Amino acid sequence: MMIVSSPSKSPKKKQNQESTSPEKRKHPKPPPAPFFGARKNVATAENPIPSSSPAFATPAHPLRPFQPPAPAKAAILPIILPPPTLRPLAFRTFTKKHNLTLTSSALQELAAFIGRHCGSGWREEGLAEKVLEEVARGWKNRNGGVIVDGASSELKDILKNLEGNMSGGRIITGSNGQRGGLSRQNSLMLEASDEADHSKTRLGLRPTSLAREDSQASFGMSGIGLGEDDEPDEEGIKDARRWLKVVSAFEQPRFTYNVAKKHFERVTTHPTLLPPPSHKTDSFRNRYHIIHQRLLRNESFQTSAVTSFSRSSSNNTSFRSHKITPIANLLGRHGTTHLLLGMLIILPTGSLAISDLTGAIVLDLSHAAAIPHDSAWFTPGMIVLVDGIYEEEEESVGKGLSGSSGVGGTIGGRFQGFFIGQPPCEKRRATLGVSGLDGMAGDKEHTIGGGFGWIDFLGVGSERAIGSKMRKLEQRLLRQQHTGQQRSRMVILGELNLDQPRSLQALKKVLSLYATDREGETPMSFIITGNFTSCGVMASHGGGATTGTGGAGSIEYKEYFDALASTLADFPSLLTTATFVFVPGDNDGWVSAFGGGAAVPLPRKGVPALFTSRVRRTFASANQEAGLTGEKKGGEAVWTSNPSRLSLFGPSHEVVVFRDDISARLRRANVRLKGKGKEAEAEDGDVDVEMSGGLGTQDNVDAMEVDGVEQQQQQSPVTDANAVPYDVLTARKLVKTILDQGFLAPFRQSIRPAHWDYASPLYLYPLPTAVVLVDTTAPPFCVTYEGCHVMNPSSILVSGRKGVARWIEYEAGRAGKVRECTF
Amino acid sequence: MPMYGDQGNKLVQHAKRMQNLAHLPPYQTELVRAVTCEVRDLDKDVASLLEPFQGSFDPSADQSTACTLLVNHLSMRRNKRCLLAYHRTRTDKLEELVWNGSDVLDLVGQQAGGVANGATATADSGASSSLSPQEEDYVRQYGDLLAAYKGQWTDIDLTGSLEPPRDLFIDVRVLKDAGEIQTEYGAINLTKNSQFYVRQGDVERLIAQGYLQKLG
Repeated sequence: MMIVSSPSKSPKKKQNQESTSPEKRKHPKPPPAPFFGARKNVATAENPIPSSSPAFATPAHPLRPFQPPAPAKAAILPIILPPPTLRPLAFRTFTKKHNLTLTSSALQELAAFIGRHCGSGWREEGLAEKVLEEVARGWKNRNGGVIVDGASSELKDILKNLEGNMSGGRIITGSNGQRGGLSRQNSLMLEASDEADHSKTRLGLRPTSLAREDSQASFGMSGIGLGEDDEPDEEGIKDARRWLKVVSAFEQPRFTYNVAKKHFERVTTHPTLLPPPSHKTDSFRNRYHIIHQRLLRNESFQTSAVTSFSRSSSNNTSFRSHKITPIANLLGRHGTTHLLLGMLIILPTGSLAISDLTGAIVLDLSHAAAIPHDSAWFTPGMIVLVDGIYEEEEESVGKGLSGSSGVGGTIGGRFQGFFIGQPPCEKRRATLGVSGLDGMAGDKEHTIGGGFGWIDFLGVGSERAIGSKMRKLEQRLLRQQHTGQQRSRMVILGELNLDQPRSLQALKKVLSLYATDREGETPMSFIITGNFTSCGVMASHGGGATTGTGGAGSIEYKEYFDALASTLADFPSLLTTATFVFVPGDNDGWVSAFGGGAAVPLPRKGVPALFTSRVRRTFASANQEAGLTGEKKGGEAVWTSNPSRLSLFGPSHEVVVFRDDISARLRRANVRLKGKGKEAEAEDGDVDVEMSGGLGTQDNVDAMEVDGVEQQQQQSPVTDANAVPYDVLTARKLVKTILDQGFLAPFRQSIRPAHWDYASPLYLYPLPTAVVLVDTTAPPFCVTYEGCHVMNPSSILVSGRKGVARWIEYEAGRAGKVRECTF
Repeated sequence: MPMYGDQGNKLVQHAKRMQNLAHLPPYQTELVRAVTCEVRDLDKDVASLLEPFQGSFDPSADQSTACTLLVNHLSMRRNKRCLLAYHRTRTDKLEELVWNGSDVLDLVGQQAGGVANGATATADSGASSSLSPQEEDYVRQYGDLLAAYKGQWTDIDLTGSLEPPRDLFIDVRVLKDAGEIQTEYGAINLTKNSQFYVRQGDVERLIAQGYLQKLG
């Protein structure tokens, strides 16, 4: 055992001198005497293995890692660091080491950050170097480009994330509170779990496993005092809500799939609401490509040309690979069986057809059965798999309209479909390629991942870049508390019709239930979705025929929100601690003015600020009364788009919030298939086995776990325990349809239009961790499908039962549950 | 009729062609997938052939089966070698790119603000390099390792040019706007078409990245 003396006396002295200027002093207490820390360090300096690896044996500053890190980190005294002083160090780290170029503004930001968080010890203790290192790596991971710009939001995000991971001027890297106290440890960027071991063996340095609590405890009385002083300073960082970000559909980065590179590319052209027509075809093509590449990665679609004939000898029926035939290749192959992937469309002549990139063909589904039976909806506008036989017909012209026949248009003949199925979806882990990291080697299903982990789909950082860091942070902030209510809860209220006084009463009751939670345990977020009125507002000409009074005008509409504001004002404890997310429906302004409550183009913008100013003011005054004036401290009201996304801890939780009466539309637009699926199974039993195995959907449905089952069964009059309640079946059907399609508006453009340039926020690819699908035409449910948790709170007022409010409480990363109360 | 190892042969041809190219052609996902699939199928065939023997297979007793097994086994090994060769060639190329200091973004084409609308992207995809997602991961991690390695000797530029400079200071012309940037001894303001007389060490990176052009 080596006794390490305390060489850090001199920086300590310096710190004392610096701290004499009163305006810079944050903590009035003098720093603890250095010997306390030194003694502690002696106790933990257990494993000083000398350097063994020749490649790393000659570091530039060999002694630095051995400095006891204990005393300086308890209290950091912020200093004003002039950018030119930092420049040489920053230049070395950024330009020489990482090939990046710093702008002056970025240098300024960095200097301010380092001055604030590393204090006077930035140079002597090597704190700044590590921070710069982390920032440079973070910048590279975020695809920032070679010029580091100080004004960019990426740099601010990186610094913010770093702030959360810093304690006492050091970056915490280990999951168990280990300090990354080694200057070279970070730069190797090993996986977190191995990091400690590798640093020991490779660098020949001992791990500094000083936990923060320990080091403080050793300070005795003064240490405790310091700890208390720290509390308010770190309060903002400790709250998980700081990592909750609402991403509106209009600010989300847009991606398109490049088939040649097999990779997503960011669309950098300026989006517009009235794009050129070519963007329409692009948006459909992109949908097809995304589903196609996903399918090709599926095991059952991998064919090898060589052994397809030798297979007959071994005759393995459990597994057979499928091959997708492009529609144009059907020509001249009368009577052959094919599997098509394409979009269901309706031809100008009125008949149903299936279309892919090469052409379209008339589809006959009158004998088709869904695989698995009755598990999903099929509507025109969806991309589906159809298995069947091609029947060539003599008259090839005259079927389609002129000029649209042949390859690229409608080809002659008819495709007799026997089986129709949704393209199987892919787990989020597989898409992002994190399955390999979790020790999933035994899982044969995921031999090939998408590997899109480096793509920043939401603009909050990509999975591979910051995912593990964020999970550590989450562990630190959320999983520590074991007792009481979880802070990470989200309360989801659907269909809050403000023009019905009872919904405000219901809202009041729900909020009062949560307002009594202990401090620090109130829900992190309230997601309140529209429609905020029951009829389309500002569309009195057509919309109000049923009510006689017409849909509300703009003045009434404003009054509704004022009433909402006064209701909210009764709960200052929630307003100051939670993020309220308001998602509009089709009846809300402005689009309702011409939509009249009908399906409007998606994504749609939030409720205009004009109407919601009173609610904002309520939040501001509540924050002010509570003394929370700083940035990001108090609660806030976010009026966001439909759909929108909530990101908690960067890419580790992604919740899609979407308000749409999608079940009703699916029922309306559904394609009629053959009446009974059972018969089909009996007739062509062998083909059916292949198909269900191939599509891989049968087990998915079985694996679907329904959390609402117990509750549903209590309510439903069905007493047979084996029969799955009808509500659960509907929920499964809906969830499977939407997630398999990977698109929130899988309809024809005339039924549910989507803005061509803004179609990418509608994709559910990669699969989010949770979807809030507010649909008043479906029963409330919480269903997990392929690792994605889908929740529908339905309407807050339970129809048919007076005085009952219903909502969903969702805890990030776990299951949501449907709750009810009377008011 | 396709034969065993045909797909693997195609991969090797790709690898050979790649050696003489300045850029990196797209990753052959389908071919690699087909080859691995072939290996898996061959393995299944072998397993099903050996199944009736219950582990007590005598090659001399059943020579035709033994021959089939041998052919299958050799094909599998050959396919594996083809896969390894293809990937080795690519990783070598990638490492070369990293040492030359090319940015991962230029390779992946995701840079914010870059030109990537449909027409131009397809047009230049032929000439520029393209990485598969997994290769991108490799490049990033290799870049991290290289940065860690360079970080120990910041006084020497390990990835710098091996040619000794003629002059300490050089004339450069700015090709792209980049705002005010920091060099080791001060800031320079890069506005398009302006000219500077600067230390070569300061701007070497920027020249490589295409922001500056060396004059004379």
